[in-house]
Amino acid sequence: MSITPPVTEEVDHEASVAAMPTSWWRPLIKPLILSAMLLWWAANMFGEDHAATAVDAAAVICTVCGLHLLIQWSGQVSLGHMAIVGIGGFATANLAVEQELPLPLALLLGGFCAMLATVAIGLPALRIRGFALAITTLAAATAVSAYLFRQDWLAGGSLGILVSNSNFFGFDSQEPTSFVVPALVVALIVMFITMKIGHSGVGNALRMVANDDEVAGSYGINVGTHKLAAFLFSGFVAGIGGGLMVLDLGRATPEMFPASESIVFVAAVLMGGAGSIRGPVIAAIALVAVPEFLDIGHYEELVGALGLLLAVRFVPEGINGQHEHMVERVASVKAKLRGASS
Amino acid sequence: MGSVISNGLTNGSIYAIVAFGFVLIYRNSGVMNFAHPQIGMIGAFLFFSLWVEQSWPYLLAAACGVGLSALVALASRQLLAPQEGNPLNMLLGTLGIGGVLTWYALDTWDANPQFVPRVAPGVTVEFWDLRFTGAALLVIGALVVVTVGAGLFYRYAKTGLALRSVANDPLAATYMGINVERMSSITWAASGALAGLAGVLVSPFINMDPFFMSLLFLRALTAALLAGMRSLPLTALAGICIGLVEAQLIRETNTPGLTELMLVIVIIAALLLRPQSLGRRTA
Amino acid sequence: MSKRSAKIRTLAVVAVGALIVSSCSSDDDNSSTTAAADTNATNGDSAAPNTAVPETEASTANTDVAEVEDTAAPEIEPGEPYAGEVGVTDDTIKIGYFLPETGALSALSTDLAKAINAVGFDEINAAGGVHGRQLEMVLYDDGSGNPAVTQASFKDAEDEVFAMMSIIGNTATTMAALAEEAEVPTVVSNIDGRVGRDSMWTFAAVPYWDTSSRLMDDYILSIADADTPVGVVFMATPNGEGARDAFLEEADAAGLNVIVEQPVEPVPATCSNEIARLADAGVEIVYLISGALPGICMHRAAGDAGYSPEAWLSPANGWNIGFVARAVGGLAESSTSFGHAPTLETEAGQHYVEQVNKFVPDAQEGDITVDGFLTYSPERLLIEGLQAAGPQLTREGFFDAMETSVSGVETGYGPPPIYGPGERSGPLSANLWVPGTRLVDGVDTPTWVTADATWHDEF
Repeated sequence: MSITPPVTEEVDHEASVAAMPTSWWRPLIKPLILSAMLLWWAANMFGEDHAATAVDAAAVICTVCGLHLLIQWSGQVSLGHMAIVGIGGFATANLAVEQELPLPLALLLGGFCAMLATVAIGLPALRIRGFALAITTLAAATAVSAYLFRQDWLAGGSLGILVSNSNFFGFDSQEPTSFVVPALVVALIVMFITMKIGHSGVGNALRMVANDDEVAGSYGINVGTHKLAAFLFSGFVAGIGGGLMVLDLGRATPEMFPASESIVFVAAVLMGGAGSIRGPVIAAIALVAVPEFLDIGHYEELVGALGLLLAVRFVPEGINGQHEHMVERVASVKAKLRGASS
Repeated sequence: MGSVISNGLTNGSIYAIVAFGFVLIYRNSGVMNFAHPQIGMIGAFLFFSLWVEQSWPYLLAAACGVGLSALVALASRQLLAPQEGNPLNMLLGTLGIGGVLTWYALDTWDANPQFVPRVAPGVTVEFWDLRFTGAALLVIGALVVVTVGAGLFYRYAKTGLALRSVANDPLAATYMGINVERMSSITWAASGALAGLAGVLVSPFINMDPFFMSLLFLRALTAALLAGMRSLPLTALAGICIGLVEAQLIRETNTPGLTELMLVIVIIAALLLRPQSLGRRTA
Repeated sequence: MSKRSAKIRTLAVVAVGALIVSSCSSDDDNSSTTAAADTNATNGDSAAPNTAVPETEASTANTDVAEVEDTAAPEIEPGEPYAGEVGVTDDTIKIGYFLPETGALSALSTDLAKAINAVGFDEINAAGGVHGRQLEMVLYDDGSGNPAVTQASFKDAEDEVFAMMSIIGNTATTMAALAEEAEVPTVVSNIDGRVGRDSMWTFAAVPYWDTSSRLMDDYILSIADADTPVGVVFMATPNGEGARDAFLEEADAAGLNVIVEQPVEPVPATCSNEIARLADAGVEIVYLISGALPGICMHRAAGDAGYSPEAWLSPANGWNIGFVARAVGGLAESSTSFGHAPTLETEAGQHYVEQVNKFVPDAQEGDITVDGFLTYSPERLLIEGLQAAGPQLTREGFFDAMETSVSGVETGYGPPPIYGPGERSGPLSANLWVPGTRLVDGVDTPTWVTADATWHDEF
């Protein structure tokens, strides 16, 4: 009988290192570098006009992220989000002026106030669905504009609320070229958080709820809590958006938040398409930037309406959908090339 | 008291008649047509242009206005038909159409309000404590006629029955040989016609600028919602109730914005108290 | 990996977008649309010698319009050098003038319109200027009342010009807030009453609703007695509410019998129901504090309901309620319509027409309008203030002068605006419309009447 020596395997050290879970900060390196690049450009290369546009865009992006989560990931349509943006804006203004809080804190607490206000619509939303909810939000937003924004304790006197303090972490909030950096940072943080939610278990649960909440319920998901949480989150970030607007202009007046403008946010979300927030963020930037740089004056509303119509007709899946098509097409081209070469 | 009733009845009829076309489209194709007020507006403006500016006879001008609205609605449906399965996209599309119509009206007539005279200026009817002008009677009368007419149509006319079966079960209707496409077009055209009719009838009551129908839209939507978006007679009733409550509210209070507050409370209360959910489940 | 790549892709798109956008803009300057030649900040850097500059009378020689007495300049310690002021040089005073160069109202910025607007400045410059300085108009865009555009222009203007003026109501409201913060004097024709009261640095020339409201009690007592039931219907805006408060205060002091008080909106349901309320309460005099649209709405509803009070009164500027009623076929059939609107038929109005013809020979008759007169009035007010502020012109000095010594009433450009404390009295110039009493070319036309009235104001 032969004695065979034991076979020792080669240990592949590289593979085992790669297979270990990476530290939490590794995936953040590239996004942080890109963000830093963006912020450096914003701080140094934007002219004054573009800085102002970027600040507007930042505010809209915050609101749109929240609304995207609400509409696409939790299936609840809100046509009245401008009212919440306004509540956040007024709250920020009041906190900054009356309570003399430092601006960053006022911004954060303004978001919380907006979030609390959202409870008033989030709770009924648990039982009201679909288009009925949409109309309810529209009615609620109109009521808020018509009634709440006329109250002096919230909206200040005839001049609105003037925020004279403009020190935001050392940046000048009323000077666009300075405020563009913190505004973009806030927007990036909001985007990041939204994205994290989307990729997490909560996000998956929300999407199941959006699809069919009875089925989701049968999986053990607490439908009510998730729906409410979606509303609250969207309210919080919308409030932050409103606060950014107010800090940028240095004042809060009811005219800044007309209920009828809510539909612009919804349009951005729908044009972004279902899926990640990449779509609505691009749509939001386009919505803010295009009128700034395309000076067609008289025909502006027509182009906007036509653009919407054509987009719905010919690009119904929105930007995300187009992106996916592109990805598919690229993948199939690649496959063909690979197939051709092999 | 009498004035509360006559005002409430008149204004409520206005809200109901604006709501009719909207309800029609929703119950037959599940679409929220947010271009509805502007479709009515453009018909009303044509009517104004023909009757006041060109001195055409009233009925002819009104018919043209109604016809234009019907055509515009039909065209909208054709444009958006491929998206009919996706209610959110339809909503967006109708908003785009509304925007185009608004722009056109602003471009042609500008934002200053036009004044449409009363059709029968001297006519007033007074009985008991109530008082109605000719224009008010026209609106209320139209409401009654359309409600009754629609009821009869849906029960007895062939197309009406066909429409009902499509609304109930489109697949089965197809098997029965009903052309679902045509039914959809008919619905949209009818809805547009109703919008145009509302615009023409309402125009003497309000400063007619390109946004006049949108002002009424929220109240009309509330009426439609309270009626479950299915039944025209119920919508009429809901509209009138809203008109009456609003009349009482304005008479007794001094705070602006209360009507809007009332509307939203009513909506939420009504929807929460309903046992079943409204509308299609996937919306 | 997908988490990371998705995040990267988003950021990359945003970053690329930003890169593209910013590379187009690296040379961008401020893009405010100043029509005048490029002006640099004209801070008086050299101390002007403290010598008296020959005084010049403001008004031209051939006018009946009262000349403004030269009031004492603000006290200046002897030996205190004049340090200059923003927008002021030895020869010129720069005034920022906000016009709708872009936006829906850009038709108000044609060259002819601008020339007509400049008449007030031309007139004083031809007479030698103010304390030897010529007034220079620097044009800025207000985007037809767009707050963002106005704010951007204001930020450019505040370091270049001495004071600002505007012709559009929305612009004035936006500028009031900014002027308050920046302490820049702003002279406008008309402004929301409550905004006007809250802003110290904004001065309005044409009476806004507040002023009219304070005079209305006297007028009511001149046409009716103290126990006639009065109803006040107001627009639920800061402007309307401020005017309502002003009216009620004066009415209370005068012992009027105000029995109904309600807000109005130009929605048919509101108007019909409010008419019902007025009718049921037996109101005989309705004071309607609103613009044209609610006015029309209320008149139509009143006609429908067969409600015809003794008088409809309104503070409407330019939108005289009489014209409103005519626009809807006079359906209200009410007796008197009283609107506080200036016309060109007064001495002041005629003086204005003369000046336009003199300095803008191309202007046709149809180009000379009440609206133009309404922009001329604040220019006269500005000039009065500049004169009263004296040759050592500072913003503070101008502010003090406006608060204490300028009235505008003697020149016929309207009752004194509400700024500065004290008791004011003067003629209330108003349009009175009694249907069928004055036909001009077959058209029912208002009459210009004057009534003396007094009101009190404390800050």
